[in-house]
This record gives sequence, structure tokens and C-alpha cells, in this order.
Amino acid sequence: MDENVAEFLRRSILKIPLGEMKTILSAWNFLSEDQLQTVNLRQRKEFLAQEIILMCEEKCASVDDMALLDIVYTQVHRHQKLWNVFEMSKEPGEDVDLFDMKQFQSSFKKILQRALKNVTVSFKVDGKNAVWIRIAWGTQYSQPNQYKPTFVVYYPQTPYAFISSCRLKSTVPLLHQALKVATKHHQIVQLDLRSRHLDSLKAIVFREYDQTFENHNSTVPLQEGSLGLNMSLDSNIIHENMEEKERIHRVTQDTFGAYPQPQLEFAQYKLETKFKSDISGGILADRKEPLRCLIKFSSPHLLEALKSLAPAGIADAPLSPLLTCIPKKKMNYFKIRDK
Amino acid sequence: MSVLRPMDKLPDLNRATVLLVGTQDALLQKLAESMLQEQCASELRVHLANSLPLPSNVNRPRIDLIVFVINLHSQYSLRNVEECLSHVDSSFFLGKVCFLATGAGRESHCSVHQNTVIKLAHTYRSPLLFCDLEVESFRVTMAQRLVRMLQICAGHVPGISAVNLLSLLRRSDSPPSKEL
Amino acid sequence: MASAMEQQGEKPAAGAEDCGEVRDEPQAAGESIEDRIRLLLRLRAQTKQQLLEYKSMIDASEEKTPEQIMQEKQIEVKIEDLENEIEDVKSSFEVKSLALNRMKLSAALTNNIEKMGTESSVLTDDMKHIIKLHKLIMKSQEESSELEEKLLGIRKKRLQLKQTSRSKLLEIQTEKSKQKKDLDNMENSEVIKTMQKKLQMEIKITTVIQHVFQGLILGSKTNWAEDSALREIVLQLEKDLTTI
Repeated sequence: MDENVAEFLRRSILKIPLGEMKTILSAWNFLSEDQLQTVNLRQRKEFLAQEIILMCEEKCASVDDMALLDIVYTQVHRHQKLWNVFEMSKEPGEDVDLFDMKQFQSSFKKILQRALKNVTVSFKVDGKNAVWIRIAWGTQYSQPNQYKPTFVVYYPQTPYAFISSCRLKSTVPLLHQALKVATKHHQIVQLDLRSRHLDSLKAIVFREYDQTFENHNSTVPLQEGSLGLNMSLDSNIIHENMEEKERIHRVTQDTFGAYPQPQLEFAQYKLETKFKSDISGGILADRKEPLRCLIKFSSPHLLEALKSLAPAGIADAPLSPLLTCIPKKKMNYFKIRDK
Repeated sequence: MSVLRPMDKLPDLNRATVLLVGTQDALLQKLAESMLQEQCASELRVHLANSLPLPSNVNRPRIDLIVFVINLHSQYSLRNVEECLSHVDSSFFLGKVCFLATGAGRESHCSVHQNTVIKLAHTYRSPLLFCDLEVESFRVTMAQRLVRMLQICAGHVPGISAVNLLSLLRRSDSPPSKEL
Repeated sequence: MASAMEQQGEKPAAGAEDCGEVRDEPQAAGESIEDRIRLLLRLRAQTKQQLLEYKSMIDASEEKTPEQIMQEKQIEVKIEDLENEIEDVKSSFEVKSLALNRMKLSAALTNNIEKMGTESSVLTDDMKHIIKLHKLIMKSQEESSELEEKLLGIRKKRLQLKQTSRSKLLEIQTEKSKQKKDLDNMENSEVIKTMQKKLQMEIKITTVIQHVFQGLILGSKTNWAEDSALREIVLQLEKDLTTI
């Protein structure tokens, strides 16, 4: 077994928390069940890693197997990467071809290998109509860097692909080209949507969020009656604005819906508009150039936070449409210009 | 009846009613509960409102004290209170109105300057109390003060009237004249 | 207002009726009767206070508010004045009630003493003690004022001494400086300078003359060492005049 492969395997195994070790290793499907049973999970991680590597050596693990382990790990820890959303489109008038997984995989691999001699491309098909692709980039002269791979999650029946953010900017056009050609599309466009939560991105893009969906990080469950606050146990406390509260609740339900919101971390608004002010003669008034301003909202669960603004009394209901349109428009990066 | 008047109804025997006005229900609720937990010889009623004017179709008792709760972390609550003040009759401000500013403890989160609130209270000649309603012990102390004020404003304490209390609570220093 | 007052009068009456029902159980009733009575008394005080407030509101609303629209600053000033008025009224009320209390107390004291006569009682003992203490206070105040005066006199004397010593020292200083100035003047006077110059001139002239005579004698090639008179003259001519 190659030294680099062994080192990479060792580092990957050290990354995996002990609680998930068994599940990840069995999902990897490289070591047999009996071998997995014999692994002693109670020892220190270094010894555990050594044991597993010995077993892998016996089975002659290759670069592809190691890449698969990486994919399995990333599937479980998908929130460690920042995912960008890409939409592909065909020319109008083209037929919808039937998707052939094997053909797609071989075509994709060929394109990349033709352009760059040294790339490692691995595929894993997820049962739920998704294929996970891992690409480790090298150059004409150097081996692929296995520690900075790019991950692509492609849904074959749809024109959407999710690509993890990669530091190597030069590889991006090549990747896009390969995707376009392998999937027989003409264009690939990046949407202004970015998040660490792949499932939330999926829900927004495929408009699945009005059904309850599973979230790896379960957030605070929605209280169906947020009016629960008003159920005062004390009859001596009387709420005067019940109507107003109900109105706010209704408006919030209408804009956001009664289901849990997809999880996004931030929304960014880039303003390039002229400054409008009632006070003439101010410092910023009467300027011809547009005012450049960047506003960023960040939160562990942005959309739930926005939803709770009006009921908590921090903002007026209804909220600004710029905030409420995020899932509908599939954007969380906005550029606002004068019309 | 869009304007609140202090003496337009007869008082109920042994009952004192306070109206808490503020945008954040959670804070008002907590304060109301703390007030009701206080030992008090008179019966207390607490009404919570987000804004004035109050809906007119409800039969409510005479309001003895109005407490406007301003959260220094949010400009929205200040604006809300300023709008509500025009729906209160001027005779209320003879000791039956009090301003309560919360959130002054976390200076970095404050978007409303303390001087703004001080000026507001000075303009309306009403006492201004600072209290962090999130902290249990401060809230309990403030509830005690408010209950005592409420009793005086309802006329349950012989010998002291609301106007008397107002002149006792008057600040001797005027707010800084510089606009911030 | 009258009907409302009647209505409120009925409520305490109803309370009294409830009171009557409870009288059947003596033990618990005893306490609850007291509670009821306390409640009634409290309600009475409350109602009195509330009535007072309503009356004062009515009186206040009978006063005419000024019709003209005043500027904000003027309103503020007026409000300050009114607030100060309230404060003045309150403080004068306090002072008056204090005075009244004092008068009441002294009246009660005199009554008490008249009743009891001049036999020893706690009050008379206290009063005698008070008078003794007052006398002591007055005496010690006198003593302390005398001592203060003495202290003041001594301080004055000390100050005077300080001042005279200061003036004396100042005189000495001025004298010294005057002497020094005169000395400098003398050294720098013009007369001395001109005299010095003349002296220098004379010395130079004499030196030249000496050299001339020397030259004459030597040039004549006579043997001046043999003639005693010539020898003396030559030796004298050698003397350096600047060292004289």
C-alpha cells in the first residue's frame, strides 16, 4: 500500500469521532463485518488507527478506496464545508436525454483526466438520486493534493449541482466544463445561495421546505401556538392587544408558513444605490455616485430568527420583502441597485 | 375613546390597576408576574399592551399607573413609546406615568443612548427608572418599587398622593443640554 | 359623584353584614372579625384619600388655564416655577406642622407639670437635667471663646514679629547690594579707564626713548662698561618699564 494512502487513511480515521467510527466504517464497505467486529473501540485513537490501517494493508487499499472513505466522512460531516449552488441549463429545443450513471461517470472522469493528467476522481451513488463526486486536484507535474479536494453533489434528474467551496480557483472553470459536458447541458450558472447546510439548500432549491424535512442538526421545534406566551396562568394579568397579536401571528404564518424553516447562516445585502435623504444639505446628500454599503445578517438559524422577530416585538409585521423572499428567490446574496 | 384619562372612572374598592406598555411581551410578562408575587394589601391587576390606543370595546377598570417600558437595545421600542405618549391625557403625567428603561447593563448592545431616554422623561416630567428586566433579582426589586408606586397612585396610602410622590422623585439635576 | 359615594358606602355595609354571618364560629370568627375591621378601616382610609384626590382635581380644573400659546421654553420655565411652588408649599407645611407639634408638646408639658405640681417626677427630673446641661454648655462655650481670643492674640503677635524680621532682613539685603553696586561703579568708571590709557601711552613713549638712547650709546662704539656713569645709564635703560 502506498505511503501517502496510508498517511491519508490514518489522518481520516483520526478525524472521525469515536461515536461515529462504526457507522462510517460500515458505510465505507471496505472492511468486512467480521473485521469490524474485532476492532476495539475503547483503545486510544492512535492505536485504533494503526489497527485499521493494518487491516487495510492486508486488503491492499488503493487511492480510490481512500477517496471513498473521505466521501463517506464528508457525507456525515457535510456541515464542515460551505456549499455553493449551481444551476445548469440546456439550449431551448433540446431533447431531454435519459441519464445514464455509468456514462456520466466515465465521461466526467475522461474530461478531467484529459485536461489534467493528475486528478483523482471518485464517485459514490446515494440511494436518493444523488451522486457524490470527489475530485483531488494535481498539476502536470505534481501528484493530486488529497487534502484539499472538491466535492460535488449532483442530482441527475434535476439541473442542480452543489459544489463545495474550493481554494484552488484555477480548477473551477475546468470543473464547470466537465459537469456541463458530462451532463449534456450548455450552461452552468452560479446561484447567489450559499450555506453550510446542504439539506437546507436542497430544500430551498427543490422547494421541499413546506413538508417537514429531516435536518441533521435539529433546531428548536416550532411551537405551533406561539401564542402560548399569552396563556397567562394568572388571571390578574390581562393582555390588551390580543387582536394585534393574532394579526402578527397570522401575517408571520402567511409569510413564513407553519413548517420549520431551512437552515441558513447568513444573508448579505450589497447596496449600490444613491443616498436618499429628507434632510437636504447633509453630508451624503446630492452625491452622484451610488453609496456602497454591505449589510450582513448572521445567525445559527437565520430564517427562524427572522420569523420570530415580529412575535417577539422587535420589528413590525409584515417584515421587509427583502428578508422574506430568501427561500422563494433561492438567494441569500443580494445586490440592490437603483432601478 | 382614544385618549386615556386618569379620573374618568370610579375606582374599585381595594383594587389597583397598572398598565404596562412595551413592545416585548416576554419582558412585560415577567415583570407582571414579579409584581403579582409581591405581598400587597390591595388587589393588583396588571394590563399588558403593546401600543396605545387600547381597544375600546373592552370594559376595563380605572388605570392608576402607566409604566412605559423602553428597551435600550431596540430603537423600535423607543419609537413605539413615543407614538403611544400622544394617546395619554396630560393629567396622567401628574405622577401617574413612569418610564422604565431596560437593557442598560449590556452597553455594547445598546442602540438607544441613555440621554435620549433621560430627555424624554424630563420632557414629560415623569420619573425614569433603570432596571435590567432579564435579571431576576433586579426585576424583583423593581417590582417592589412599582407596587409601592401603584398603591400610592391608586390612593391606597393615606397622606401621600401621586403629585406628592412626583415632587419627591424629582431629579435635582437637569439632563445635559447637548443633543446626542 | 354623590351616587357613587352612596354606592361605596353600601359596600362597607355589605362587608359588615358578612361580618355578622361569621360570628357563629367564635374562635376563627374572633380573628376574622379583626381582619374585617382592619379591612374596613383600610378601605375607609383609601376612600378618604381617593375622595381628596377627586376633589383636588375638580378644584384644579376650575382654574383657568392660560389661553395663549406659549413657546416651549416659556412653558418649561413656567413648569419649573410651579414645581418650585409645590416644593415651597410642602416645606412651609412641614415647618408649620413642626411648629404646631412643638407647641402641642410644650402645652402638654405645661399641663402635665401643672397637674403634678413641683414634686419630683420623671419629667421634672429630665427638665432639671436639661437645664443643668444647658448651663454647662453655656459655660464651656464662654471658656472656649476666651481661649480662642487668647489664641488669636498670640497669633497676631507672631505675625507682627514675622513681619518686622522680614523688613529688617530686607534692609540688610538692600544695603549689601548698594555697596556692591558702588564697588562695581568704581571699577568701571570712565576716569580710571582714561588714566589707564594715558599710563600705557607714557610707558610706550618712555620705552621708545630708552631704546633710542641705547642705540645712541651702542652706536657710538664707546666702551660703556669701563665708565661707571655710562654703565649705570645702560643698565637702567634695560629695565622693562611695564613691570614697574
